[in-house]
Amino acid sequence: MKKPYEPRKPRKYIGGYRPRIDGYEKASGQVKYVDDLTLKSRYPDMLYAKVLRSPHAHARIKSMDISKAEKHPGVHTILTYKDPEFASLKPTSAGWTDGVDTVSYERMMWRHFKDRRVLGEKACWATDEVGAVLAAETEEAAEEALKLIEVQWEVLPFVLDPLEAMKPGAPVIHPEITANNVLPKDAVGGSDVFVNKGNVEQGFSDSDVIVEGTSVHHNATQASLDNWCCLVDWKVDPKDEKVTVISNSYETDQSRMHISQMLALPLHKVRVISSYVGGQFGRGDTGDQPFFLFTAILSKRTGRPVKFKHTRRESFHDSRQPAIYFGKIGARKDGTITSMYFKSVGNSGAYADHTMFALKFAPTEISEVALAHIPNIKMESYGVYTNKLPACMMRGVGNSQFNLIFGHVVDMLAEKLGMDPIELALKNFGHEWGSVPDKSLTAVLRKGAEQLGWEQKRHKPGEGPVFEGSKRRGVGFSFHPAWHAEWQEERRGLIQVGITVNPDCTVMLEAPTVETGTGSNTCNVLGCAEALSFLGIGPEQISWSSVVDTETSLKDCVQTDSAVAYLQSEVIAHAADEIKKSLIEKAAQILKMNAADLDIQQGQVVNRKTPGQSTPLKDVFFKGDLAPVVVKVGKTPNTERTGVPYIANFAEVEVDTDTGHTQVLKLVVLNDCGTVMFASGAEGQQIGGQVMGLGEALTEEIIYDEATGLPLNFNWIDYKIPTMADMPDIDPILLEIWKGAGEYGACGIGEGTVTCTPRAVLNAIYNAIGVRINDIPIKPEKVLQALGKTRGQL
Amino acid sequence: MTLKNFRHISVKSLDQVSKMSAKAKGKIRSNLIAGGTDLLGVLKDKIHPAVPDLIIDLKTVPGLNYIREDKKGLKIGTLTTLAELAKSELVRQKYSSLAEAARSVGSPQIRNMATLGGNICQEPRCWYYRAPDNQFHCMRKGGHKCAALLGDNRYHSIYGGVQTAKPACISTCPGHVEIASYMEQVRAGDLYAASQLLLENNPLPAMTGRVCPHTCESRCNRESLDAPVSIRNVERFLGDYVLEHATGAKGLMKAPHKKLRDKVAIVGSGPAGLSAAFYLARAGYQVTVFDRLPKAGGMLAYSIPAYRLPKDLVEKQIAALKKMGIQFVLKTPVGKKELKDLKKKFKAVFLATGAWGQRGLKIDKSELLVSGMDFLTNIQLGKAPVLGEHVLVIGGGNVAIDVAMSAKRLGARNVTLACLEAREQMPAFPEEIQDALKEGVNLLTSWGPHQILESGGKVSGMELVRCTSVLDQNGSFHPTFDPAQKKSIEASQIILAIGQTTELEFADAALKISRGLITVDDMTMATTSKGVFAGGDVTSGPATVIHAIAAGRRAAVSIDKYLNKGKYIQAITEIASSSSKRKLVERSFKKSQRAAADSFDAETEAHRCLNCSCVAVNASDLAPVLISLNALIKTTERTLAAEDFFAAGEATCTTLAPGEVVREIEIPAPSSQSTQKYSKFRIRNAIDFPIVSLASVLKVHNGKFKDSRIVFGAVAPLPYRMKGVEKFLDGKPATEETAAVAMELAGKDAQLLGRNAFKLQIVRALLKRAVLGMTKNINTQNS
Repeated sequence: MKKPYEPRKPRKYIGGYRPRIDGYEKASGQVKYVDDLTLKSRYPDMLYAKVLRSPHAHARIKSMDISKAEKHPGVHTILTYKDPEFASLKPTSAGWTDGVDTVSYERMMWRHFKDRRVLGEKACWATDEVGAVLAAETEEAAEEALKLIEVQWEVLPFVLDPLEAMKPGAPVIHPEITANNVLPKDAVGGSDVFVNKGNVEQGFSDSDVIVEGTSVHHNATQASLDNWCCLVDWKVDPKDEKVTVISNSYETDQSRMHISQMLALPLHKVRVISSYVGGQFGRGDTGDQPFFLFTAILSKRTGRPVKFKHTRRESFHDSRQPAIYFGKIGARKDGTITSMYFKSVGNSGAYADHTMFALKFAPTEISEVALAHIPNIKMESYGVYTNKLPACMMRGVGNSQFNLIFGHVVDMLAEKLGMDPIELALKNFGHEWGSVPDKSLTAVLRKGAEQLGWEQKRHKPGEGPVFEGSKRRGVGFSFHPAWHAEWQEERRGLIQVGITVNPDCTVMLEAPTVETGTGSNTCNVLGCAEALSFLGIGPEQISWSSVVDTETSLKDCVQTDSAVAYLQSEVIAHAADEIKKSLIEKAAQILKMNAADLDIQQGQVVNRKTPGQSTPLKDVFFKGDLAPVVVKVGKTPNTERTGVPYIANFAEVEVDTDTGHTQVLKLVVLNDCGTVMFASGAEGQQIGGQVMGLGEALTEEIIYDEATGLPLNFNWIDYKIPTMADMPDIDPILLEIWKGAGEYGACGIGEGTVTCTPRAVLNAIYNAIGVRINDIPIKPEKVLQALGKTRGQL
Repeated sequence: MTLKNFRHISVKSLDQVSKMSAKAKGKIRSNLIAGGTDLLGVLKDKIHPAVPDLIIDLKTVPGLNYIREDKKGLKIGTLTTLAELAKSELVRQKYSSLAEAARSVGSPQIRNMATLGGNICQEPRCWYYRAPDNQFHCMRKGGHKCAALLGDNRYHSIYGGVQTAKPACISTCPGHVEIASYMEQVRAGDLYAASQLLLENNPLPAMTGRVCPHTCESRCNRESLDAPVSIRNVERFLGDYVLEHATGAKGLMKAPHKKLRDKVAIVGSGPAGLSAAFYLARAGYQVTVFDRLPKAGGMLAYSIPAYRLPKDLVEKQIAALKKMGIQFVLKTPVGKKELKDLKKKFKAVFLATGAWGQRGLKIDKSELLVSGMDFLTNIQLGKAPVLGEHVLVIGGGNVAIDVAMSAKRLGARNVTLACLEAREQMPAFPEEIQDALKEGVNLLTSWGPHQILESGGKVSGMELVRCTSVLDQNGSFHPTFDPAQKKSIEASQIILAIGQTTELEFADAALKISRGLITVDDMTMATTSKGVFAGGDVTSGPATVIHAIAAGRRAAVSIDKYLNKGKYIQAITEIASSSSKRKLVERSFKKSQRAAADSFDAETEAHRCLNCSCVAVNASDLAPVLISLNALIKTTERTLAAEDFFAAGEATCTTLAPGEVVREIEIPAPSSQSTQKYSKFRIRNAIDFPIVSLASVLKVHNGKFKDSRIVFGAVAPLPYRMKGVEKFLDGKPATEETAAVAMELAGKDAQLLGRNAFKLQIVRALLKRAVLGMTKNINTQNS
């Protein structure tokens, strides 16, 4: 059984176990999601948009006849790729979201791969958006009309496998960008060999033992419950032109910037509104958003509000970046690693999106932290276009993929050296500013081992006891440096918050961020209550608006990563200092006293000169002008290097060697948080992360028909997300070992809860059956094949 | 996707459904559908070709939700929910596998809603079948190909498929020759039965095996695995077998001794005439075939060169037909007067005079050109034409190729073929073009005749002009030329082969002619003249031999209908009705070479046939259990054994007729000594359909198995009862050894597809557990 975590220092609100602030509202179904905000009853003249989707994996439109579709009852307007609105539109990429900071078109993160046209004539994967978009009075009419658009396709040969796509003669998907499907070297990610420290070859020749292996990560989808949706209302009155966008994008300011620049509108004429979003997991960082633009253009053409919404099937259009990794480690007999080499090939799918972020950015950072003490490291990566769905971020950017190979070769090396992999890890890994063994790494590994019973349960691979005639058990673990500490958020720019204290001492917190379910809103309110505890109030006296609207003055803190859980609280702590000063000044004014003599404690105005005497602040205020006290503070994240927190996962599995079925018996997930901001929320993240991680490890993958390139399982029966019945006992363990530079010194943990699960499970499977399988998801057929119990292709 | 509007009726009785269905009979298609995933798939993903307009909700029928036991056994109302089955103390005690299976379905929410009746009426599980908007046009939905067969079939059948529609080869064949079925007989080594099947649609397989373009092969699904099955070679092989075994006690080409009175005249002894003659004679009609030429066979004898179709073989074919009693009256042209006589003397006349006229060229001095049809006929008549050094053939079709190749073989040094079309547009079959090129014929594509060059009244060559396009925007023949590009070809003889026309001198006023073709009813081949039928090239224009054969077959059926109300000749049956239970069919996926004609083993080649059929599985959890428990299914119409209830048709998994609804399930009380078990293998522990499931009822008597029932689910299109294993277990002890042999037996009939081999291991594992699970019972008995 797990125990509640032990806080480093006692705090009043931060770190507590309690319901989330939106828990009741959500559980009782009262929350308004985007689909609720854009109901026909609210916008009676609203039209519904649908976009044509390619039935081919790779094709070009030769000609199109929309005459039948135009005549379909209910159809209002059809626009095609030939209309000037689209023909003149600049190409875009996933980079327009950038994820972290608000950027202009020119400063887009992946500006080198502007490979997407909004409604072009070429389809690069089956179901790609191409050629035509229409608006109709009902969704049904829109869908029926789409079928009436007659398209002459030039069907092009397609390729699904990145290794095939790299071969000469393979179909070329974006000839304007690359002649061989391999993404060109880019300014952000650097050259193909993007880490080259020391001399790897020398390092390998200096080693006594060398191991090498591969790992394969397939498409897994974010499976957000809240399908992409937007409503665009473009008022074309020349005197008062204005575009209002309501959506479930988690980046309102960035959306405003992009729409403004793509459609040539001044920023103050674009208003973007978002509220609660039902799940994200990185989906918003993909380039799947040209629909904002075509919906806007449809609204402009029709003069009516237009709504666009993905169907459940279309909610599968985003996925994790799949990658094939090769890894090699050399070490001396005593376990000192001398050299490491990693090479990856990423399947970008039809569009580059953040491919190179996953393949280069994340591993680069790892080389600077976890691998900082390894003298020789070389890493190279290739992003490759194929005709699969464009792949991108999913609860982490490339860390899961890297961990799958990293945890693999570390486990192999330990076995070859005859060492416990925990000892091997502690001997070698830490970070740039510290010495080994690293405190945080030691804590997560020792605690995890103790919680799982590592010593007792571990045995030689494949040599454990047999249960029920054919079942074998095994244990495994994996670990990874966490990220989203404050210094890692350098690119984020200014974080703005506002606090308004009302005369009755209640508080209106302005911390704009789109709550996607991570619980950052509760963290903010707890952080605010903690910081304003001098007012003698609790979270119940603080209001927070779920609606983020670019017409208010503050920039939203983009919910692109879990760091929002503490980033705004850090600024709120500063704002609290500011507001305390203002409050004292105001009280001094009302009381006609000297501000320097006053303090506010527990909601009371205290005169330092007369201890024991105090007046409730509220009473003081009610004697004044009743104007609320307001501060707005902007601050960039603290970039002081403070070290690295670690995350780890331990797993125990049971594999049925007769059927190949793997049942996970126990998962221990450990996150060193720096400071636990909201314990219930953090544990919720840890447990939810295990469902996702286990799905990726064992069951989840998008399956394509190889003859046509069509995806076969865009539904929740055949795409297999683990159910409650599949989940083992999970021990979520929160630790506070490392600490960042700020008031709280926390880090985001959401992504880190998934990262190590697949590798921990895979290492446990190896321990159970003595055969390594590294191509996830590990379905029964793969286990049976590895055991030699079935033949034939998979 | 959005829901299309539909009407919804909640009925109060099952009779109401039958009545509504009877009223709508023929006008609409109705299907019983399981309410949960199936209905949603149909309404939202539009997995059926049509979205229903009316949904009849059966759940509102009162009195169909019960579980009770009487002397006969357990009776369960069709609307009993799975949750109720899983919870019922009675079911759990005595019919435990039923409770286990019910509990394994979906998730608690689904079990609270889903009914027993719905569960057993589920549609097949296959992601190609369930792809939205009928993306894969699968065989159960009007297509001719199973995408899963060679696609991602990891969860599909490991015990064969079922034919729910004609495979692509058959549907492409103008003669609808039952290719898949005769291949199956060839694989079984029964050439006689194979030949019988083949003759049902094609009386001249020795001919077509050599000259048919075999469009069937171009659609053969095996192409994406290695190469299409060489249907032509198997057909040729069977055709020769037919001619070898035409007569005798079990002769394949025999007519009844007792002839019918009716006499039928056939004009023209080409494939259409011969085909009609065969089917009519076989039915007992007195058939006389007239032809103007000295030899019977029409185009087979005259226009198809001997190197493609040996003439002694044509003679052999004619001889076999003569032996059936068909009279041939040759060298007898039929004109207007003769046709009048025939109409008097014969009860019916079939005109199959072909298309022997040569289409001409409107160009100066065209009289100097030689007709391609005459050229080919003369060769067969022994009038070998005099050819010069250089021969020019005009035309891009198959006849042009035949002419060019014949000219080459007759010794012309230089043969050039010029045609308007570009190479890929040429109407000739690509293989034949390839053959012609191999034999040294020069090919000039996209060139049209411009001017005949002459010297001294004799042809000396032709000036050609560049053809820029052949068809206009509407796809009609309307060539355009670039007069700036010209070229001259030297030629001592120019042979025209730009298409044939019919010659209709015999046509009287009663016979309607349109655009040079006799007008007939497409289905009956009846002309506008009473008792006169026509078919083949004379009604369709130049087409393939198999087209003509099919027309002859249709004419024979129609003449029989005209004369004797269709008593003697059966029309070619289309797909058998969807309610009939279908046989599981086997196939081989081993990559192999397509057999060449010269090193040919028909049986080996027939093994390459994939026997295209649906490999979706019946994944109902309750279906195998009901079979294992010997349940009876009572519908609104009848009572049938569970084993006979399941079938694979178009979009169905049962034998239910439209409007027929399951009312009750009756399960006989099981023997108290038997042990029931339901094991389900799936990826997730909830929601998932089985990948393999096993419903077993095992009994150990005196330490030995007795009366075992072993039924697997989700491994075949129908629940799969392993009778072989049941029989083997009889009298065997529950030991490791017994289990090992049973597992071996389970593998014997497996026909693994590309990716589903692992399912067999799971079948074996579940079987082993079931057998060894009984060890415990033995031990208890002994103690």
